[in-house]
Amino acid sequence: MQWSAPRNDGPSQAAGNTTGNTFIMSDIQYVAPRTLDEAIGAYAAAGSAARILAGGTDLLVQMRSGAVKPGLIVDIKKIGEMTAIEETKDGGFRVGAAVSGMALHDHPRFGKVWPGVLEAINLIGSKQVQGRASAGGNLCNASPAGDSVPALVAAGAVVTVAGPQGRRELKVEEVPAGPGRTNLKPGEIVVAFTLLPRPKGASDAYLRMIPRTEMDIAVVGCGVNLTMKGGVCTDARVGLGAVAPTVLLVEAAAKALIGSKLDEKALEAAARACSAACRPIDDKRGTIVYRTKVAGVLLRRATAIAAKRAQER
Amino acid sequence: MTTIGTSIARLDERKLLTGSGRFTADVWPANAAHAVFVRSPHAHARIVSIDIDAARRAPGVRAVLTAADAKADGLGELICPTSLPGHALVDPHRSILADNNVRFTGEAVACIVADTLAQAADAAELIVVDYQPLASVTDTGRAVGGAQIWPQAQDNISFEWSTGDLAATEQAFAEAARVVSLDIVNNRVAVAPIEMRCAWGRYDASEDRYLLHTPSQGVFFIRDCLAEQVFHVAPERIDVVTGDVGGAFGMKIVPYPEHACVLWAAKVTGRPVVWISERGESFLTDTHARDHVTRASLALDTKGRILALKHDVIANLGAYLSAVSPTVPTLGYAKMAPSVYAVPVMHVRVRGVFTNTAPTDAYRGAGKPEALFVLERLIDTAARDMGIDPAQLRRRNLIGAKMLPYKTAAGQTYDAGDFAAALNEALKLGDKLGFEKRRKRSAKAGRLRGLGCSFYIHGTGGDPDETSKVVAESSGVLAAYTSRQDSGQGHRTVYAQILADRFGIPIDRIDVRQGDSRTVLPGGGTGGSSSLIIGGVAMIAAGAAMIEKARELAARELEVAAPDLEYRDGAFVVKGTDVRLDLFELAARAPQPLEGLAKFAENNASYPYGCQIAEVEIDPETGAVEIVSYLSVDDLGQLIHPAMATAQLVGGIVQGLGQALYEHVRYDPDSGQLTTASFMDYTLPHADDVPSINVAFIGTATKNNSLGVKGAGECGTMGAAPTVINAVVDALAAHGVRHLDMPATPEKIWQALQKPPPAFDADKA
Repeated sequence: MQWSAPRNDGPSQAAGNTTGNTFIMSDIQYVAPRTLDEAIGAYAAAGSAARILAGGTDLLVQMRSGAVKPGLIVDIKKIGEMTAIEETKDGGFRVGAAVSGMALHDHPRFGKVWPGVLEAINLIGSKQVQGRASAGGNLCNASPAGDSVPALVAAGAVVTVAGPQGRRELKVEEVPAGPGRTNLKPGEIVVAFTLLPRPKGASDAYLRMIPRTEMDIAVVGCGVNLTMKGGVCTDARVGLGAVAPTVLLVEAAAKALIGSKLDEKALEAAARACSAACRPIDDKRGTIVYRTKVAGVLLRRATAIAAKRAQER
Repeated sequence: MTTIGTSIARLDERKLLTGSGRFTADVWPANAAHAVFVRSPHAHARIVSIDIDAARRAPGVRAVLTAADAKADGLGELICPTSLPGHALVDPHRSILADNNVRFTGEAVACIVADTLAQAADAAELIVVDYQPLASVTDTGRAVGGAQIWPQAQDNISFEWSTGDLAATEQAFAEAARVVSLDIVNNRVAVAPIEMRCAWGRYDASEDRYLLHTPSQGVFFIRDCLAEQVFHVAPERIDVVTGDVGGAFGMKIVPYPEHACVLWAAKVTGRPVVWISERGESFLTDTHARDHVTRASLALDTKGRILALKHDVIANLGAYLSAVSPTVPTLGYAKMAPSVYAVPVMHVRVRGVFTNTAPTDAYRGAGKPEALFVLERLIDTAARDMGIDPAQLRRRNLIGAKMLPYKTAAGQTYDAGDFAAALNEALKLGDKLGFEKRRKRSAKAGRLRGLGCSFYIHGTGGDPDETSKVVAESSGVLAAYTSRQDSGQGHRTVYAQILADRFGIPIDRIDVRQGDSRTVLPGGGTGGSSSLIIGGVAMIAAGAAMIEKARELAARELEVAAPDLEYRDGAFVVKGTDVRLDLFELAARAPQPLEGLAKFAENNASYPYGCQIAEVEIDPETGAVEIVSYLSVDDLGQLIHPAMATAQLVGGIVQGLGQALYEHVRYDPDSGQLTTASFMDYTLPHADDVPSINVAFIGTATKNNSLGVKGAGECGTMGAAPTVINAVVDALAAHGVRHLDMPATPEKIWQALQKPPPAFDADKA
């Protein structure tokens, strides 16, 4: 393979260039269906050459770098169900897979009920990227370091997918299969996330460790979702990112927290459970030993934040 | 009324802030063909064959060029034009397209020119290069004796250079009460300017003339190198134009293969040819910087007075000698090595080595930040070893104000300054006395707090060759031509301020002209923090010459004797009368342009210095660092525009703290691949990683130049890296940490805090 300059657009119009060297898409088809059925039809028919476009914050970067060359792009943003945020009467939420981070941020109630999920989604990229990036795309990109995924796993979110065989529901943690791979069947599209109503005294939090303060890929990400009653943790879920080929649901950590007053002993046991669950790699962003240690540190800190929020609810 | 010392609105700010700048990539001709380079995917390989047939036949392709074509067309290689007097140096020269071997990942192998960028990119993919991979070495510490890169460079050594008094230094070490040594890796950094390298070229066959439009730090150096080395034509046959420039920092001083290729391709195709770097190409092929492995020692007496300093440096030059590179780790490095301290003797030994990496060259400070980092780390280490407060140890060794002028062990003569005053002011502003209280407060919150202090001093330099031209134009514009080149600093504004002050012309009637070899007189361009000194002084002299010429003309026009005329505020006045003749009106009547020329004939050396203090807080559980305060007390002499001087310091400090905490160009040690070729992996500091930086000035005038100014551009960078690392090590010292190499990432800090400290090498991780 040759290393050559990645393809790019020419300069601005100021150059007076009229030779038509636009972004090279001549062999790429683009469709923007209005209904899910149309989208599934087109997506399934094109097979592995097709890519779903929601915000495009991963897809366009991958195309520009030459990592993917889709034959068909199916833009799902014109489908109402994919971009809607619904609050059910009992206080649950259904969030379309293509809802942008900023749209979710601006929702009057979502962040009050699911502050951890919201802060995780809002950590994807920069402010500008937030205008486009969606939790559905973040999940389907299947990076072990995707920021929204550990929080959605901790939240116990359920994913609705639709494909040629109809609709089905999956737990969030069941979607990623490995770095860059999902368990979706051919032609299946992630449609929405369902978050159940939550009792009083329940809240969540997400923390990640990155080398800088913004816009980096997580070295470790940790989502904690708690229900507190009379100072005792009655329910908990813990999601861990960037420490294994897929985002992990750490049940042993949750078990250590449930029934406790989140005392030192319980936190230590939960932190150890997180560290024990880690199966990270050594790479330029972090070593195994560091990631393993920081997973426990973030568990403690995210738990403290979630507990404080739970008390305030 | 003078505006000197006043932060007037920048003359170019509307243009630049509204996107109306004219950068090279904004102004290429509509009929230009596009160049794309096929680059080596190997760190080191023999080129067995290049198959270009399919590419040549691809749609829109005008030319496919390789090293064989360059030879056939009689083009020469890029030669390093700088030398090290008294020292031998191996310069293997650089073919503008790789010939026989590729020697770093990203090296250009072929140049494809097509009607559109897309066609050129498509055709590039059709070129098949058969490579035979060779063993490579990218790591500085393993270069000597590593995989051989050039047959003529034994052990990959280009040069071995030394300066100072070795015998006296060794004797001082032998007699010293205390010797402190450190092994220091100065990390390789990328310049990463916002405007990437680019170039477009045109060839006029009827006149046999070339035109190159490219960002630069001065058009003449690139022109002369290309003319003499590659095209073998008189320099006047190549016109070089530079428009607005979006950051240069030393990296844009030098000629690159792409400069030659667009001109050559323009001649071959008969079309203008444009090339604009991608960010990935920029990381691969722009000159990198720093990248030293150093053993350094300080000899002290029982009271902590410095007796001697020695450095043994291996400096990574990359695969080829970039045009200025040999001087950076040698003359540049040693120049300010004793800094503001009374160091009686020193010795510096430097081996410049080839590796399979992008060439290195000057970057903001060019050798001096590397040497100052070493000294400031040694002083902190000595202070800790001896149980002396680091600020106190510095104070004991400062060159006193009464000792000036003072000739250092490096041969520099500091003319003006008050180093102790800078230290006192910094300690006061930084509330050093309250630090222990703050440290305890941080500890209560589970944070390790550290304070770091460093001095910097710069010896401004640059190429003093400058002839300025000042013209009073009949349109009412005072035009000033300089070879110095703005790349965002704001030269136009400060030059206009000093011309307005000196010649009484309103600032909005002054037009500073640069960046065009057809109009500007040959000179050295920008480098060494000296554009204000060299360009400013020469402009004023040229303006004065113009006024004298005008006086003769005015005398004739007004029918008086020249000595009876007084020049004041843009007009000649007959002394003792109200008879006056406006300068520009005179210009309109003059038979020839009303212009004056002057060469720079003062001293380009000035010694700006400062004392910086940072406090950091470290989260011991994750190793995350926060710089909680940063201040810099600086002496830049006479300030022309305080806001822009402050901006230079702040920008420089950010580049220094970026190297200290975040930035590191990494090559995979096995494959030689660049693993930091994007902003995702090459972690420049973001705006919110940078603390609010407090800059305070203490001014002492210099008499080395008639403006009384000292250079500003490189100052902040020189102080920042040691200040931050001293603070980080101070925070960790109680845990037995003696030194941390840059960048001090959270992981590296966390590893250092683990007991027993494991031997952690981020490059191996």
